[in-house]
Amino acid sequence: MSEKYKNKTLSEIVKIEQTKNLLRNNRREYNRGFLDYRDIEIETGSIEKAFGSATVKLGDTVVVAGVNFEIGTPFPDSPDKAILLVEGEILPTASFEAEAGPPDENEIEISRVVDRGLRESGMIDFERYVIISGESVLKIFVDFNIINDDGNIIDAANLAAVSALATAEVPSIKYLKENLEEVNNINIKEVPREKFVIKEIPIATTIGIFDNKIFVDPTASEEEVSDTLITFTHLSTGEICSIQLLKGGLTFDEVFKTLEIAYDKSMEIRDLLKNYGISI
Amino acid sequence: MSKTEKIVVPGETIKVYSQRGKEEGFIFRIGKGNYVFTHLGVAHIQNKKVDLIPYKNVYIPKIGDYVIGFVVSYAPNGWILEIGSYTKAFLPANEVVKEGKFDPKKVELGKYLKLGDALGALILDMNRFSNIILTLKPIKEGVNPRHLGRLTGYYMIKVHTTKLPRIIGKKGSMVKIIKKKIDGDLIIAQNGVIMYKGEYENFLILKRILNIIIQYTYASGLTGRIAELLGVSISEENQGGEVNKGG
Amino acid sequence: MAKEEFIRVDGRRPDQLRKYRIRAGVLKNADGSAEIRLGKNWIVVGVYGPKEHFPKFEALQDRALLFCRYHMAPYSTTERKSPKPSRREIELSKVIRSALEQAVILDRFPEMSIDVYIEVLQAEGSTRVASITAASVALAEAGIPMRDMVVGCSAGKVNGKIVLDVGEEEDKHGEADLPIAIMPNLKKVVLLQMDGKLTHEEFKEAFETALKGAMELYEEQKRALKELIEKMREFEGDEK
Repeated sequence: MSEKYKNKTLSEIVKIEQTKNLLRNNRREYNRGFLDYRDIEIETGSIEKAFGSATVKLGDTVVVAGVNFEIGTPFPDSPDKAILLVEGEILPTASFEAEAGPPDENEIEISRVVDRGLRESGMIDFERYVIISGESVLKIFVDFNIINDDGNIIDAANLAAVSALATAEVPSIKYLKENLEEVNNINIKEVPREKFVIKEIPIATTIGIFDNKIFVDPTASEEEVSDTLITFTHLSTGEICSIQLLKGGLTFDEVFKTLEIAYDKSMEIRDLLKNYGISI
Repeated sequence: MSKTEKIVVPGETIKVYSQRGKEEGFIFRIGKGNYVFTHLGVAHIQNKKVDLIPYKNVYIPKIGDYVIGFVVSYAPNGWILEIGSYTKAFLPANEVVKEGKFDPKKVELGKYLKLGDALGALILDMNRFSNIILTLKPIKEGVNPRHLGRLTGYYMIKVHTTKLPRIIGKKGSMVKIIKKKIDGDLIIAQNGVIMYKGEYENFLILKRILNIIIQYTYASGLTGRIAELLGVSISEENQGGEVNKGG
Repeated sequence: MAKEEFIRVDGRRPDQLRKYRIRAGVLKNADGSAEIRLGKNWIVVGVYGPKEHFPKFEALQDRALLFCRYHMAPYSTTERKSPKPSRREIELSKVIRSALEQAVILDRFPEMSIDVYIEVLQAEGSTRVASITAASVALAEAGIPMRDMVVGCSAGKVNGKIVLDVGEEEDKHGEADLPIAIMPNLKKVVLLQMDGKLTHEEFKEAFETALKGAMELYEEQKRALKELIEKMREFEGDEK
């Protein structure tokens, strides 16, 4: 496809063509296994100004997530629920192709998939973070940025968002409830904090298919070359809380095959998170 | 010699035993020994051969096609025409300006062909990366030379190119009947532009006939019905050629 | 144990589609068009193209560009929706386009573009799958070559039960929503999203349920398209 080469550096084009050759010969870069993830590094809490933060490195993909809390009015149809807002952007630093500007359809899709994972998983106890029913609730902002894009942004961003939330410190709701008169004038950053409680951990796993070969955790060139890309988000219970076919099509068999692989990988990543003290 | 007809939608397949398949004319393609139809239309299966008359098809011009285009822009060395295709068509100035070498500084294009002028031309060359090149030279047989060049004083109508085969009819049978009734100068271009020079009343008859053909494209006996409506007899003579595109 | 019939908020059985109808060729100016009614959903699709693409430098040399805009009218939803494209509409435009790209034979028309405009005039749940079902009919009606039709349907989990064709209320209060779209002859899934909570077994059941619904709507797509040709076969006696 000619559009593949429109906005790419020579270096990227070489990688793409190389990737095609490798995959056709049943190989991946660095002899990575088709079912192997790249090395994952997670660092939490380095952004002190935020209530929670995490930097995730998935191979060369780097994502930073930050959590902020504010007090706001609940939505009219959910007076007893805290509000969650998730937004992500690919920074212009991330690749040659990436541009500054309002989120494009890819960034919006990524944000919404991560949002679904956090929201539908039951990770956040929305009812716990209500100060006055119908009037004032906690607004939970999860923002993430892709600093460098070497593929599989969704899995990395999901991990960053989850890690940031899991290690975040939230203004004490008890304190806020006891100081209702001040709630509107309060400086939320000065409210005593407690650990943010999470009840589940959604893990997103993205799978690519090219030349009938199925592989997990695609790099940027593998994503370009893939005919199909699909993300499944799993819970610790083995339930699925989100599916997004990002690109291409699948046979009915491939749907169930990739689902199984995604589940297996999610359990491995779940174990890895335990090493960082992130678990439920 | 059995013949069957089937209305098909894109994606439907038909098993035919003949290996002779065509990845042709945007109609169908071979899929593992089956024909997979890519268009909505009526499939005719006869003697293990399949043909599809599509409900609608996108006009892709070919070299040698006779088209009627309209000047939409001047270029440094010619005119740009709209012919209803994937890109505009180009008529080089020296097709029109006969005086030896064409000097862009000296020749004012608008003197020869103005914006909005209608032109009958043949497609000389096509290249994905440049415009479609037109010529006014009668490089193809069966084209009336009077219909190459600027066309003035015609009534005109644009029809979907998919309807043209029906409007012309097998071996020109339909258009022959129409011409018997309305006489005059009738031009049918392959890009769907139809022009008529003659009485306005006759043009209205032409329009009505075209509407009926378009509305009942798949009706059998359409030619007979049109002949009936026009009060014209269908002659049995088979003079092919005269009623070709452009003539 | 007495057999209980699971009745849904609108009285449907779990495996029942809402009332549906598709009509093709409903817009005069568009090159291709179709409308679908599915329950209270009313969606119109207009297709323009293939046409010359501007700006030229954006055009692709080996195939056509497909643009798709999924848009909801301000009066289409329970509460007025701003006409400005929302993030949801942008996401849906993308997933629908991505699905249609699998079916349309784009490499027949290099340098050109095909525009698909989906307008949701009234929304009542599962609009994206209804939209894509109508869009496929509009593309076929336009005479744009396609490998197969694309047909969509949703399934969900409501009150613990897997149901077909999720309505608006069910989507709001249900446990999971699974919109899918397939190419029925090629047997390929081209749109697949899920939102909620499903075990693997529940997903399998929901997927198969949605598949059945899609195949039923495929029959309706065929009927709507074939009807166009049927109308052109029999003289109605109104010609003069």
